[in-house]
Amino acid sequence: MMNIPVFLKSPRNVKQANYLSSLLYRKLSHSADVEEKIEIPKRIPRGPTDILRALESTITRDPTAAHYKYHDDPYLIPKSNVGKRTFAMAQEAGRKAAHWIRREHADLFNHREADPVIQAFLPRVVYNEDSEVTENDLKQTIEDVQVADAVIVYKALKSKGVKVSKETEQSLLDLLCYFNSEDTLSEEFIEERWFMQSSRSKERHRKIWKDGNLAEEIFISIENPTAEAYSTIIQGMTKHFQVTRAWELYEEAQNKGLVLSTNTYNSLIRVVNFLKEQYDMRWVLIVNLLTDMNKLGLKPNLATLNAILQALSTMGGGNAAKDNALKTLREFKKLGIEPSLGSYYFLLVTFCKERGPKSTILYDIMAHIENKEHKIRDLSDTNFFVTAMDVCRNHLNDVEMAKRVDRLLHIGNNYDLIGDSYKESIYYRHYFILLVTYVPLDEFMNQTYDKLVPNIYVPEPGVMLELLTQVELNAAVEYIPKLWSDMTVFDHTTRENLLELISNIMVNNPPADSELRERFSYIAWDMYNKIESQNENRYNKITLTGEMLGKIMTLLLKNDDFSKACAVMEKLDKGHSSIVGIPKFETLSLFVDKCIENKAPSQAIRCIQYCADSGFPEVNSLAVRLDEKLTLDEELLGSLTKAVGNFRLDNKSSANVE
Amino acid sequence: MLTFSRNLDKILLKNVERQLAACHSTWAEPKKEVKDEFRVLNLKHVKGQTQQRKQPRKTPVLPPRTNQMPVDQDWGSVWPGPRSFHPATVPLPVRQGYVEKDASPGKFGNAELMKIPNFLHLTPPVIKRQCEALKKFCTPWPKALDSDEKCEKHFPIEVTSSDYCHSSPSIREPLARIVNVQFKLAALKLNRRAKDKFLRLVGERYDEESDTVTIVTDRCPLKKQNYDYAMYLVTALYHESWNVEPWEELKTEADMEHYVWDNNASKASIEAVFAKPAEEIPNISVYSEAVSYFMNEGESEYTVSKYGEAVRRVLDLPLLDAQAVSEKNPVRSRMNHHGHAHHHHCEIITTNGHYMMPHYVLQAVLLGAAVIFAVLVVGFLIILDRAKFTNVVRARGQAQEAEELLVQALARFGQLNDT
Amino acid sequence: MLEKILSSCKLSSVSKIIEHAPIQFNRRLLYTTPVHYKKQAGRYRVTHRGDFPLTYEMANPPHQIAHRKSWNSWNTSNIVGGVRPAETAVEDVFIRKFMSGTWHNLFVSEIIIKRQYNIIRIAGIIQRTVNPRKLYFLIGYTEELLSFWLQCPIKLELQTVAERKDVIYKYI
Repeated sequence: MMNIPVFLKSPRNVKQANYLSSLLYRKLSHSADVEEKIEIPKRIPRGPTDILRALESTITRDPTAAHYKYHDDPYLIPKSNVGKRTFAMAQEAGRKAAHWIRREHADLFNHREADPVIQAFLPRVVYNEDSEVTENDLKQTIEDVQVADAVIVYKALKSKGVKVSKETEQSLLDLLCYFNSEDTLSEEFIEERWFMQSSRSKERHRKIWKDGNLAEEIFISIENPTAEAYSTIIQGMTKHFQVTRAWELYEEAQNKGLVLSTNTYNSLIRVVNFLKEQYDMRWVLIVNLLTDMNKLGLKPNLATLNAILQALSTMGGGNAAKDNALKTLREFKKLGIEPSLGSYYFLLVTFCKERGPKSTILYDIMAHIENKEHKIRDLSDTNFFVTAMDVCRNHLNDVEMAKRVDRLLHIGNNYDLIGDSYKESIYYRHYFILLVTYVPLDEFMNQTYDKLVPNIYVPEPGVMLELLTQVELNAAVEYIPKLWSDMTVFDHTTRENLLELISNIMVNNPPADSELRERFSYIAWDMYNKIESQNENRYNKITLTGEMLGKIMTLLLKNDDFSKACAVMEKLDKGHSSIVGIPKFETLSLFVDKCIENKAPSQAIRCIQYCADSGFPEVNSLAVRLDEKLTLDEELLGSLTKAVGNFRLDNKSSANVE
Repeated sequence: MLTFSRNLDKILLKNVERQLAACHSTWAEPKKEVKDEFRVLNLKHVKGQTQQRKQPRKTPVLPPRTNQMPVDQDWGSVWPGPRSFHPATVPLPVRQGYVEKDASPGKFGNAELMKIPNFLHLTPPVIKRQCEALKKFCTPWPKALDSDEKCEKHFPIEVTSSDYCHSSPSIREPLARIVNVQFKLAALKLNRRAKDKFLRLVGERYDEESDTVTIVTDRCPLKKQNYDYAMYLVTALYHESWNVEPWEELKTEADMEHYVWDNNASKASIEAVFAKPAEEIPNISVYSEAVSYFMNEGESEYTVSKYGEAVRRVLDLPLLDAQAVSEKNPVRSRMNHHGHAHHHHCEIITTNGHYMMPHYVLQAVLLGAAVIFAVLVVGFLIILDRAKFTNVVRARGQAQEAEELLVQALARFGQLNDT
Repeated sequence: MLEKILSSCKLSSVSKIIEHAPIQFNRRLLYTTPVHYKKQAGRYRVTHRGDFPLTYEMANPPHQIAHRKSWNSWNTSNIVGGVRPAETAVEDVFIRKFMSGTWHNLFVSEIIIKRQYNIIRIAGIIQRTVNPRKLYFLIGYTEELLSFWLQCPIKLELQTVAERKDVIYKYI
């Protein structure tokens, strides 16, 4: 509780104060300069959240922390892509459960604790066919974007014979057409929206308009529909790909001589590829539509530009489409319409086709948009960054460009335009692979990997493979322990190719210092245990091959983990029939050497037996070595002879030969 | 059929199988019986067949992220807002709690550290940074207002109200309605009489020491309304104090609350003495001040000596040495200073002087003394008379009353007898 | 003159206050019942085996609050001039019951409730016996449902420990 002296805040108060100060006698006025003017600066206007935004701008991303939607606790921080998704969705599911309880027991949640009342905490009003409703309720439901409620209220109004005003009917039609008469996911559930987009893109070009839905009913019920009503229904149909009906309605409106809105034309242009098959016919149709607009005196807008570019982006990789795209862009620039990121996205799609010639249009685009903060102006704006990065990687193979795009992404609030989780991860996948391939490994690990992994981006197995390949090329074994621990956390340890690669690297680049050797041995043992302790019912269980076991054994032996190596040997020996492949002879030879060192003749004999069973011709030399280094008792000698035959004889005979 | 379908599941989707198992959780061991051909129907719960409790799969826990934090990290981004302490996020080896003969408990699993409010989000560099960010919302201080005096001069009114920030879902607080308006009385354009009236109107809201008027309004429910009301009060007070009501003209000297020399006989008498208007008498201001001071403050050694000095000045007599005046010439005043201005006729001083005085002054002094003496004597006689004779008179009166009563009673008896 | 008036005003106001002050302690009573100094709240009995686990909070009796341990509820309701003290207390009890019921057997510390503005922050230590996914469900559910009930934003601030043993201060 503080006392804050208020110096006459509101403008009205100031006025009053001026009047009052005219009553007040200025004591000092004759002594000092009388005409001294006090100018109080005008209050700088600010919104309710401007201060918070300003404070927020002082905060940068903390690379050690997970996204703030996750709980900051070691146990609760998500460690993999799956974790990120499940945790966020689980939290949202919990919120939904709470919403469900509030809905079921709405009568219990009607107390008013907060003052002023916070509407979001109060239960929703429930409507049914019999509820007493007025037009205001309808307006309110439309305002709150509650499509299903709006439908119920509308029907209730109709059944009671209440006349709904033209404006309300029109706004209801708008609502229904936009949402296809379906309830939409509430704005509150942002996580679901963030993770949902990827699945929705699949049904992008399917007709989803519900024929004969309430929107159409309302439209039909309107006598002499206005141009507005026509515009709305046509836009709704094109949005949900009921294209033929939309076109019929368009022609109907044309015949009636109604002037449709610019956005209606935009929506028609957007679906032009559904209306005409050939590319040139499509272009002709677009031009016709634009001419019509011109005749009617409709001014095109950004959406018109994006619609044309979108239509052009579907017209193959010919030069005609590219020329037309540039022409359109020029034309719109003349009209004073600045293209948005979405327009550039369509340009990239048009110019950088997979099989087409290489295009450097991204350089020109970047010149226009670099170092600026962009706001969302069109829905397609969110596609730009992911596509630009894709072009950088697959089309241009240009690291510098990728870095420029990434820098642009992090200016101001541009990160809002990344789209959704799916686009974000694709973006980083492209970025990572490009950097891994072209940037020195040390630089990449220190500057990019450490900052982005795992909190912003978790590399997919493919990216990890690429990274490991680079490690192999550079023989940068010092990164192996870190990568292995990351792989364990990201759940990559079930990928056979990754395991093989990492064990190859470790075997082929024997480290000089003992510490790293120890770590490698630890990794190998970890790997062995992970595979051994797999769930029996796993779908794609990985099986250890003989080669893998051999590598693991080598790594263990290098660090003198003899007992662990014995366990591996035992596994090899026992599963001789089931394990595919056999380890290299060097490994087995090393094992025998270590057995000699550790004075474990029985283990050595088992190994020699295994070698003999596997058909290594050099097995005799092993037996000889064992015999020489250790004094074997009768029993052991017997089993050794049983394994390899009379090795002493062979040895002598070979000596004789020499 | 069941096994067949289950095998299918196993082949097709491992997840579905898990679900199946979950759906039929009443089966004793869903996993095992996938392998076996036949399932044993276990109607009675046989001892020893107790199901093994599934050991929860240990989720790997990351090491605390303080381990990864670089030394030169931006702490403001790590801890951007108020939050309960978390040991894995704060890279400080803090401890909290009391243990006899041992170190305090560490930061992990320490609820005490979570309880106490922390200011980890308000480190000095962060405050500096936030101030920088908020500067764009601030306007510069008016350059001309560089001193407190100027502030007071140009903004004489100070309005104070309080906002309350409770931890509660409601933002309402009845005390927030109170508005406190303060200004210096000197800042108002008032003449003496208006000022006098103003002071009478504001009463105890005026503090003489700091010359400030304080108006507190709280009768309306809202701060805005109270502010408006306070401003109305200031305006009304000002105009009302300039108003002159017809009855105010009827104020006589007796109604005065201060002795004002200009209105009093002292002025008239000195004018009579000098035979010229008061303004022309030399040193008259000293005299008038001394008289007013004397009258308003009452008799004391200081006021009297001051008065004496003023008289000397106005009469152009040689001044006494200040000490000499107080020691050798104790000043006697015959005035009764309890009353107000009605004693103005005796502001004359007697001194047992070694000094020559103009005879007319002596005359006046003697005359005054004689008059006072006469009055005192008469008064004394009256009192003496009362004191002496009261009892006799009272007794006489009582006797008369008794006599009258007797007469009345006799008359009554006479009447009675007649009838 | 004016000073006199003012001073008399002050005097009168003082005397008024004295007049209106309720007169207490106007009689003295003699109690003959012996004083029973048995205090039990927040104290734990020593067991024979000496294996009863206590957390730091339990190990310190209530009179140590503000000395060795601090409060579990932080708000402005109970300071001088605070609003809704009764409501806050009842709400805190509700929150504690709700938390211990919804997060069954998960909390190993007391539930700490801090209020700032209209935000209620609920802190505490939980043990890692439940899958993080389920914990996230509970977090979402608790925050949302308590928000609906108390009509202010609720935030959970949890710390996890591997097991209950990690918060045990001593055994008695």
